[in-house]
Amino acid sequence: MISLTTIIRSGVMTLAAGAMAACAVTTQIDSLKPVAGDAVAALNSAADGVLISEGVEILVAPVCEFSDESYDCAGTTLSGETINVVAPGSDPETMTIVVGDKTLYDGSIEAVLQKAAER
Amino acid sequence: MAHFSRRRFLGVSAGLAATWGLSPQLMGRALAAPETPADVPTTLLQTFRQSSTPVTGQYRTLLAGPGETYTPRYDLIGKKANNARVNQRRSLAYLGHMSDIHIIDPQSPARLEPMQQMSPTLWQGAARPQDTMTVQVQAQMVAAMAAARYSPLTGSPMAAMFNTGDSADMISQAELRWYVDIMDGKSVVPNTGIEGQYDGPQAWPEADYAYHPDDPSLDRFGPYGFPSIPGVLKAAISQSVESPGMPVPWYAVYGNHDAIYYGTFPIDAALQSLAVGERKPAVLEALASNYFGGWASDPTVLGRLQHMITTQFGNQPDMRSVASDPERELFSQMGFMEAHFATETNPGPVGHGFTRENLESGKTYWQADVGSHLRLFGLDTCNQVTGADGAVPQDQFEWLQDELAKARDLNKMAIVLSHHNSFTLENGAESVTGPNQPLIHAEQFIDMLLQFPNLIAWCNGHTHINTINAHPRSDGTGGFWEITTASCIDFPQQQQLVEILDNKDGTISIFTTVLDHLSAADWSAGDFSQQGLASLSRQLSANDWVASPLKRLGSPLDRNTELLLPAPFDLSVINDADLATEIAVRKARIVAYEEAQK
Repeated sequence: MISLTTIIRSGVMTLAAGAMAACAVTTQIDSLKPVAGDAVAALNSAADGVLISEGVEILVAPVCEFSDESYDCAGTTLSGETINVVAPGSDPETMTIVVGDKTLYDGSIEAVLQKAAER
Repeated sequence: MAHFSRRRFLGVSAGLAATWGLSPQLMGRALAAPETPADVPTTLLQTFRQSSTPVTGQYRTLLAGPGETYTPRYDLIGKKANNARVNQRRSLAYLGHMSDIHIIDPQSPARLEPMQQMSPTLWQGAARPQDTMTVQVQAQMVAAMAAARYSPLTGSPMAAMFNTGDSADMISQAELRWYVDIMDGKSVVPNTGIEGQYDGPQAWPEADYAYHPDDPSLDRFGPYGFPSIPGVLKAAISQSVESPGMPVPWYAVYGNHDAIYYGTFPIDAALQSLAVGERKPAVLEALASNYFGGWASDPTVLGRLQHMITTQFGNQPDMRSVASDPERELFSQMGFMEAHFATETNPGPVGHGFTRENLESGKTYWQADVGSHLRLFGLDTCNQVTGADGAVPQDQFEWLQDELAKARDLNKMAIVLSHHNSFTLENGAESVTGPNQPLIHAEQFIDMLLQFPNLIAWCNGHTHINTINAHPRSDGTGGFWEITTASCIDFPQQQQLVEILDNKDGTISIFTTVLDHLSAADWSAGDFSQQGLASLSRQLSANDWVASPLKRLGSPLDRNTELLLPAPFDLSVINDADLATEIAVRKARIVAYEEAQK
């Protein structure tokens, strides 16, 4: 009887080996990753949702970039204040939103998404 | 038709009545009716929200929530919009946008459901609780598009609908045929194999990775609180699904699921054999040893042939015997285009963007005009080698650059359509057998698009998340909007309406309105009607924790929005009377559609 671990390992190995046997190029292996962009989409949705629900008038919605192990997102309000969103990690669970010098939110991303989805 | 003289009105009205075989009186009344915001079921009036507390375990139902008004976005104009625009604007084009329909033949042996045993999140989409109800959802989404044939904002008639890919899920001929037929208003019984019998992992006890609605205690969905719904699988694949058909011409581009297997892997002989064969892997062990084992172990023809025979006739454990069906054959890259020619001439167009020249040349991208001042560019950003994400091949990139310049010189606004979006345009996989050409990724592609002020929007899908992003020029002279719509398969199962308005103040507004499929918020237990199954599908998808459903809604900045940007050229060149004629032509088509529905 083959254990599940062995199956999983063999599945991954054969998958990788198949791609390499067929083409032997690293670009193919690199591309066998899930659809990109999920983490930043969740962060954007949550951050924008907080800004809207708090009545912030947005001129430029925050645009996020990943660097130094965190997402940093920058935007501006209609009155010229800066919007900064910081979320640690490549798949962040928390975020801090600062508008001008006021911290608007510091907490869970999932909690914001859950609240927004509920009636 | 305030911009027509009486003589011109009568002439246009009589001409359109003759074209559509309708009475001049009927056409005259329709054309004379004032354009006022249509009272249509969109998220402006009602949204779907989760119940605040679970009903069983962690399972939540859906409830009707309040409508959501338009949120203006000023990112590309650098200031608040001029309030006077509201009373002086005119509609230039009203469009529909569908994406990621993911029609599924849930009984095909060539599916990857058992990969869920390996990692549900890594193999997201290999098996979903709502897999048997995709045709019902598409039909109810087409019904929603048909209901929104007049704009909820201006009353303008819809001009066209575009679909940005992933129409089939596992490149099955059956899936492709069902999708085109539902768009065309035909009836579909979404079944393969034995008539009236569901035979797949959702009914097999050993497939504990799948939701078993007849008895969820068999699987991991039961403890979560997924409901017991005996009989629903049979109902979903037995009943004929009816569709009103799209009321307007519709266009299509390739998605990665329309190009390669699971949107990720190349097809081989063993997989082709599995698809039309009589054996289906029920668990990971069988899938790994049969499909992936053969694919990986020996790339030679003899090795693959041996494996194909083993797959077809072997007796490995946990391979289930199923009824074979030739309709499950996997389609080729050309086959996807060809299916769009096996279609109705009305609403058409035959080919749905693809032309005979595409079939002859093998080029998988196209352009089409919607009226005199809007041109659509349909791209194929799918990687034919491997990987879910995409890129723009060099030849398409150069073609698009040339054609955007021509459109600019002709005072035509442009919308680029592709499956992949700017987050997912980084696939660099190349074939070693070639021929290869350079693959253009997001940054270079966006830089090129920004050279063209007539390019107002890039509409796409792929991530199944409502997302809208501004792409500004560095000199502050505007830019374009990237509009990503959600999907018909994952929660929130939403699509989109897009309307372009001339504000007559040097700006235009692109209004986006999110559209739910026409079905009740709260599924009534035992409702196996077409609408009921669509409603159930949405509820199941909202609870499918593997798919992280909540993030897919987007924020208010991604849903009902007014996206402002500088006018792409001097819009006074669009004469009011000529625009009125175009709108009359669109309205006449819809009047004919309405008469045909009676």
